[in-house]
Amino acid sequence: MIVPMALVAGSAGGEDDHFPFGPFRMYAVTTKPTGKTSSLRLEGVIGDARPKVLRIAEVGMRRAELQSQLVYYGEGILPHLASAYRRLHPGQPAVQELHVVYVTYRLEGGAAVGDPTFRTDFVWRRHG
Amino acid sequence: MGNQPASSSSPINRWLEWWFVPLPIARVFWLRLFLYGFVLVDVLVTTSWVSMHGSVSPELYRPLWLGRVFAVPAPGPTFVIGMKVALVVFAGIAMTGRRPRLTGSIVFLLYFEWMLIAFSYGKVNHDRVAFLVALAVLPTVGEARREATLSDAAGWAIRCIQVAVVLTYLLAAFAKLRYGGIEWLNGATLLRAVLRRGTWFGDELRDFPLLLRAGQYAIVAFELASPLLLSRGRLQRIYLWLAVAFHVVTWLTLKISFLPHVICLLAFAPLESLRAPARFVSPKILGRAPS
Repeated sequence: MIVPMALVAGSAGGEDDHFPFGPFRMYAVTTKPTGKTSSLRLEGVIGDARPKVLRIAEVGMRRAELQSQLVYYGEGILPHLASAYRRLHPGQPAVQELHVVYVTYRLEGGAAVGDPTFRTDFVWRRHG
Repeated sequence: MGNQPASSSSPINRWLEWWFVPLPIARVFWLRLFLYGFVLVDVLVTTSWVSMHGSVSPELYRPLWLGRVFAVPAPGPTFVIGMKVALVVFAGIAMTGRRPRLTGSIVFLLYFEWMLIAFSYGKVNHDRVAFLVALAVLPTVGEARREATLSDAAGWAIRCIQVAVVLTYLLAAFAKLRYGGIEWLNGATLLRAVLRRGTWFGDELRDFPLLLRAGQYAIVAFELASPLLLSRGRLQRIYLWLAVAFHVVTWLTLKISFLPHVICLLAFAPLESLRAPARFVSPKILGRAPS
């Protein structure tokens, strides 16, 4: 009985930190039907190649983790992402630049209208 | 182990009889095979991203409450590989039914630590609670063969998994109310999800806001109706198939599978009537189970 009670208590007053007794908050938030909603993406320059959209897993994280870390550390996280890329891709060209880009959609009456806009919030460039 | 005759009908006795209802021990045999088998799939395929955390800077490690209590350090690449190997080895042994209490308990502890590594970088998934409960209770049953014997220890373990599944749905509905409010139903909730991580199938739904909103009501109704899983007969079977359909559609539209939770739905299925797939299961495993 302790486990069900802890789950109910965690749902009522706990946070993610209390895993496995925290609230079941995946997809529990919403957006107004008329307004804006944004999605994060990571772009990078690898070696001397052209900029491209990176899979966030290439820097060792999931999208929601990156979003959370950006709230926590701000752009200070970007050099860590470049380091993780190097560790996960040994022997390959290093990351020279990283861009955190927000893709924003305009919503009207619960539908997306027009083309999305792109805004770069953070940029990191390798020195030297 | 064994049947307990129904005795007094006091509420406490009925409560205990419900929790310890004798169920076929063969269902535990199959649950072990499927759930420990899923640990292999999960560690090697579906949550293989956990290993990537070993390559992330320790500065980004934000241990959860339990990680802090037990002073779990930031995992390095060697530690993560060691955990992965240990999980694969012990889950493999647990699948065979050998020393079920010991191997099952080790798998539970290892998998729990695997989850602490997974969720200590800023994002917690909530599709694991029933699976963790299952890994915690399966070792308590002890030896489980593929035979028709009823066991109240098996009944208790299966009930625990079933209740955890139902609570997951109910508390997910509650979380929507807590974080999204009533606007969760009428807002652009599913559209937001589709825009962020929609599949080609999900993208097709962008232009149907009413359908998406109806989907939001359907999801909450589905979650609130989850106690039907604890009923007997047709309603339970209908809900079970509905749950499977719900998770398939979620995966097709949003690439969200909730697979560890889905595998726990097997606790509601009459697995005891399964025949052994002799060509795929090792004779050693079957040898432990008189048919």
